[in-house]
Amino acid sequence: MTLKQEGRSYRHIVTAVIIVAIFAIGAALASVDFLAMHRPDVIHPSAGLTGTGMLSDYFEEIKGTPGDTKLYFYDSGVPGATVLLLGGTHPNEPSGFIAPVVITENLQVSAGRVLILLQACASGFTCTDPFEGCPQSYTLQGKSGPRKFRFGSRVSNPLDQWPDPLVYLHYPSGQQLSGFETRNLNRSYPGRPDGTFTEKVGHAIMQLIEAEHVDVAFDLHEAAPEIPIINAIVYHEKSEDVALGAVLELEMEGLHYSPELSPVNFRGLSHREWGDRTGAMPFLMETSNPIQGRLRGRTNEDLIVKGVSERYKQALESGALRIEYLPEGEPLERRVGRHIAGFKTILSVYNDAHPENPIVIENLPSYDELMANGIGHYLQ
Amino acid sequence: MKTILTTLCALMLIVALAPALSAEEEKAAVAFEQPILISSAGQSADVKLVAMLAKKQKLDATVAEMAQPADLGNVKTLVIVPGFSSKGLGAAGVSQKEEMERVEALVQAANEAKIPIVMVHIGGNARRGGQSDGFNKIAAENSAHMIVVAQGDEDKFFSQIAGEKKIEIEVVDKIALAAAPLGKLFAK
Amino acid sequence: MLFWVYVVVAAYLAVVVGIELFSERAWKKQIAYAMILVPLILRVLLIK
Repeated sequence: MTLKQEGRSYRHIVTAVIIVAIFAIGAALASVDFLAMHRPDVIHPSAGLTGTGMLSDYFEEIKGTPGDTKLYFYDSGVPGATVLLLGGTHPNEPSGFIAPVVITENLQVSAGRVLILLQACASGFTCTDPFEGCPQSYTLQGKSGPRKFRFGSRVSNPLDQWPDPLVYLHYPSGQQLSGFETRNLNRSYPGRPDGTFTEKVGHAIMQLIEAEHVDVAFDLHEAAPEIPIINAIVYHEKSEDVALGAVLELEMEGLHYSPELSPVNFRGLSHREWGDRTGAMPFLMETSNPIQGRLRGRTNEDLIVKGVSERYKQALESGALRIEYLPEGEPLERRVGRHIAGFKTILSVYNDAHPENPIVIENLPSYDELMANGIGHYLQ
Repeated sequence: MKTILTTLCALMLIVALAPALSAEEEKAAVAFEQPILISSAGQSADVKLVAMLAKKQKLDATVAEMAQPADLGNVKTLVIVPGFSSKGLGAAGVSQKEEMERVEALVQAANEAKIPIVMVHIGGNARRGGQSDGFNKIAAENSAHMIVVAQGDEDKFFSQIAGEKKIEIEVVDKIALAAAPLGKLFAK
Repeated sequence: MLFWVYVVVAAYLAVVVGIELFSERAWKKQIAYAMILVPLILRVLLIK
């Protein structure tokens, strides 16, 4: 066949076919990677696990959707407080997920019960944030070998909720935020049954807190070093005595946390809406993670796990840095250790204040143990 | 002659040292009495922690994060806990500028009423630099006594102000260790 | 509902860009069209 027929050239069609073929191969290879993000992370719960459920048990409408996620029950059978631990509200904040994983794989409860939602924003674990160049996963050495965990997006996958509005109007306050925040679970509370995909997940979590009569609820996060609320415990006013008591106790252990009162006029966040609308005492904890920072430089798995950024280090050495950044970085051990220490101490202070409604947890590593032995020592 | 010279020298020495001695005496003369008003400068929740420490020391203290000059009433000592918190400002519903104006007015009113100010900085690095140091400076410079958790004074920010203004400063290692020096101030 | 409207819009755009790609005679511009086409197709197929 010639490229010319009746005076017309078909050369451009041939080049188009070649270009489409090349791009199709590239897209197919990339698609394999993208689809791999939908494979769930493997978790090995400790022997203390007494049952599992799904978030959709509390709101049927999310059943079978990417918003549904597994709930782990650790029930001692001894009357006491009910604690809810939320991990993975923001799937691009690894210690907010790995700390609950370590807890899930080691926890023993001898009074009260602990409920763990490891991947609160399950949809956000299925993609990464565009233009950030973040890796899709990272590997930690567990006792049984390498453990791969997904590094997701701050918000729900656009495949599950799209398009974003120009301005996100929070329900029911009418508070205005940027359109992107419409997919942010931690701006969605209390959610609504007929709302967006993310609002439905938020609503399901509120239903869970109500139905299980949660007394103390945790939401674990990370933030860029330049965010003023790193290494902080954010608390609702009704959690104040426990939060401040915990800050003092943690300080005696050499761990400094800034207490931060939840603003009444900043709506949609767990520490505000859970406290206002349920019987739970909410606590949100933040660690410092360079991979979220604007100065981070090379964005790879090492930065997630070792937390060492040469760019932040340079800025520190130049004397230009006006924020807290340690020259040795912010390794995942430290961030996970801080979350677990905060979790344990808050519950210990809660016990002192509410002896009639105890929660007794065991077998979790201390901050020093995590720093000495590494996370892998506490992963199956 | 020798006696006269010696006497003159002694007199000159006394005259030369007199202002310094009187200044020292004046500082030492500052009496910290109760009741105490504890307020924030920057709206960090550290003010609540200091209130807890004061409670542990059984001090007659009330907390008003957003204290105004009118709240000084029968107050004998003003304790200021500086440190910026965006969440705290949000909770109080004020801007950083409005908060600074409030702190300036409060400090000025306390100075006019001769109410001594005790600055307690417990927030460490997290409440230093950036937006915090404006509040730290005004509280430190107007205080008669400072209690500082060491991490917040690693660059000698507070020690320098204390040295320049001849303000007593106590640096403690941990927040909980700030309770005793605070209680001791009012034990006299 | 809005989501499916968006998918239809994305599919429509993919077809239009595809037509343009095949009728374009400059190969550099064809590459540009292909680059635009990929994310549209991946979104229509609900892959990314």
